[in-house]
Amino acid sequence: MKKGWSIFFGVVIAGITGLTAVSPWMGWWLPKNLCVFGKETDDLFYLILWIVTFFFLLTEGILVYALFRYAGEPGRRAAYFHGAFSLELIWTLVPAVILLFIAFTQVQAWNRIKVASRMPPPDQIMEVSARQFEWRVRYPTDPKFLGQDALKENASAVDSWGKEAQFDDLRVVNQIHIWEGSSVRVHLKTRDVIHSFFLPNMRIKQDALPGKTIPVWFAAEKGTANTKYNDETRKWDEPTVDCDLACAELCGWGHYKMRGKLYIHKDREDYEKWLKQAKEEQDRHAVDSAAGQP
Amino acid sequence: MARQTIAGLALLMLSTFCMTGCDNEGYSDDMRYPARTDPIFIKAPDTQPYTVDPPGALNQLPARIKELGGKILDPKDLTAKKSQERGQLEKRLEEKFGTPAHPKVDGKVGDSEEDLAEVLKLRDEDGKDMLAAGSKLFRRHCLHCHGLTGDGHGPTAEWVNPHPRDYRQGIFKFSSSNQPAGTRKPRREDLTRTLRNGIEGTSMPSFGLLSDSDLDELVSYVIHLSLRGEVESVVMQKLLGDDNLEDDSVVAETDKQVGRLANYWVQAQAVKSLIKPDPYPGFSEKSVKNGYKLFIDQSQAGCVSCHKDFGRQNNYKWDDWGTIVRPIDFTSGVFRGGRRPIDLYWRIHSGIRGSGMSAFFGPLNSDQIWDLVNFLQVLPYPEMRRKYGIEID
Repeated sequence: MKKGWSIFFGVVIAGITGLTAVSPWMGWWLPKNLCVFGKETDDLFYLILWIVTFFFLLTEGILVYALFRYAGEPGRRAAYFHGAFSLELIWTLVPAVILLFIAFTQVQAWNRIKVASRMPPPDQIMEVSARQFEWRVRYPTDPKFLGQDALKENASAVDSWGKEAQFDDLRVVNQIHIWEGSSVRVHLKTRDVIHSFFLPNMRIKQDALPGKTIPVWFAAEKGTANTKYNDETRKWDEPTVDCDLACAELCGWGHYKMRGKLYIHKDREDYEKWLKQAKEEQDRHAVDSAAGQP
Repeated sequence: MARQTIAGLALLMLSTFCMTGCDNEGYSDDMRYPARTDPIFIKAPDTQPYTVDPPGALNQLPARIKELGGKILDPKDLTAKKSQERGQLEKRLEEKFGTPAHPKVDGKVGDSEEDLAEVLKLRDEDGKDMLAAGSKLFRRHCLHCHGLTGDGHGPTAEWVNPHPRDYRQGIFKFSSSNQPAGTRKPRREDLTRTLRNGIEGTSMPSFGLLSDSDLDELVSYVIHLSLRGEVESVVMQKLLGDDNLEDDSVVAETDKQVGRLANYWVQAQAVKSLIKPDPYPGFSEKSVKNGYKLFIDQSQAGCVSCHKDFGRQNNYKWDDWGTIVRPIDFTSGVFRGGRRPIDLYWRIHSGIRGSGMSAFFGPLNSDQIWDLVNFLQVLPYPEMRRKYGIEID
């Protein structure tokens, strides 16, 4: 078993590498990207992945070789090194340069996605209030908050809408509704502890901090609609692509099940049709005597 | 370290992967619903509490109630005086209601020949047993708060306030049934709605991501737990109070209570039990202002007497479960039983059973209730209050 451990190591490393390499074809890879800035995020991810993979294989390869070559040779005298200055200089500087390179490369994507002052003018706004263990979402139904033109015209009203709930807002739980191509601005809040608003398919993740309202933006690419109105059930179908909203910051015993669903309507009209139907349900004052209530 | 030790440790580490399990199973077959041992709340003390119980102190409430002059009955007294009857009760409950892994409801509705399980839709249209499926879902999603027997004393319960519902009183707060207050049960849709929307302002989250059939199964199982718990509680109270039993037999008394209590559940589901308001007169300034007057006028609805300062300075009270609650703060815009106009109507019409919110239909007519509903919808929004000239400061 003297060389055995190094072989074991080598096999495990090779296994990990192999499984990762086949992941995309096994369906274990990244969720489908439906977002306009998704490509930038994924490109950065792949850049870092290749750099890291290279160094991983290099260092592990050397390690496994060294283990194999020098294991199980009792009586062998150790060589004494003072240190190798130029070697140490190289293997400090090269990674440092690479890290700086990564740091500067990602600035553009970060600015585009995260910085509030650079976010594009929204087509729709919503407030997502995280709480243990669900997502409470508030949508405006007043026409002055629908569509890019209206939102531009009423900029100060949008501010106060973000701060305070309005009488005619629609409130739903665990459902994010957007339409294809709509630039969405989310006012992210939390009612108790730190949560994190995570839409894998939109490549967006943002911590929700108590006491703060944090702006988040994303937009679905054209052609990514995943729901349509079902005339039979008179509701919108469940999303065809599994578009989950998940909590990405441990927030208590129910963190794992703090899920929501992302519905991408095919156009603004369809979204407003849903908005109207949901608002009517929220305004329900009559009873369907035959069927009871939904 | 010796090679064997290292090899052994490595094997142990690898084998831990096999031990975690990903279980979707239900309760184990040998589990039984345990006999009730926690005190039965009968009457609240006269002195109102000045604050809620601190975290982790849920189980100390019964002793506190007794200390303050309230009334509780202790099932542990049965073990001393009437252990044989207690055993008979537990046995009969198992015969009627099964076990956690194999729950059932065995009985007839009231004095009729109608099978309970059929009438309460505890079996679906294809005859599939919903209770077993419901019990698996309950174990996974609900057990840790609501407890094995639906006693509201699961491991999480003492750490959240308001505490999870104890189903064993047979009392549920949010019901759209027009049955009299003392016997009102929720309709299935009320329970489904609670599951789907959660209860904002409490620790009850939304379970709307479960499928419709899953929600149906859960509702059936909750009804099962509530019925079982209430039957057990009622018969225990009779035994502890030395009351006369039906035919002098615990078994007969248990059967009688099953039929009687199930009847209330069945009545609640009838179409004629649904509270049907008069048509909504619409939203208008006149209606909102009238609602405001009704709210503050002690000789009319007089809501301010409990919802002091529109809910901002409420006092704590004991509720029918022996826990501590207070009336809602209407300026917060959070409505636990639902925010739709119809939900608010139902709450005002028939009250909120168990919480001290009384029914106002009778003293108020349908239009007046709608006026109050319109007012309550305006109340949380400063802009709307300004628009309608509502002064609350």
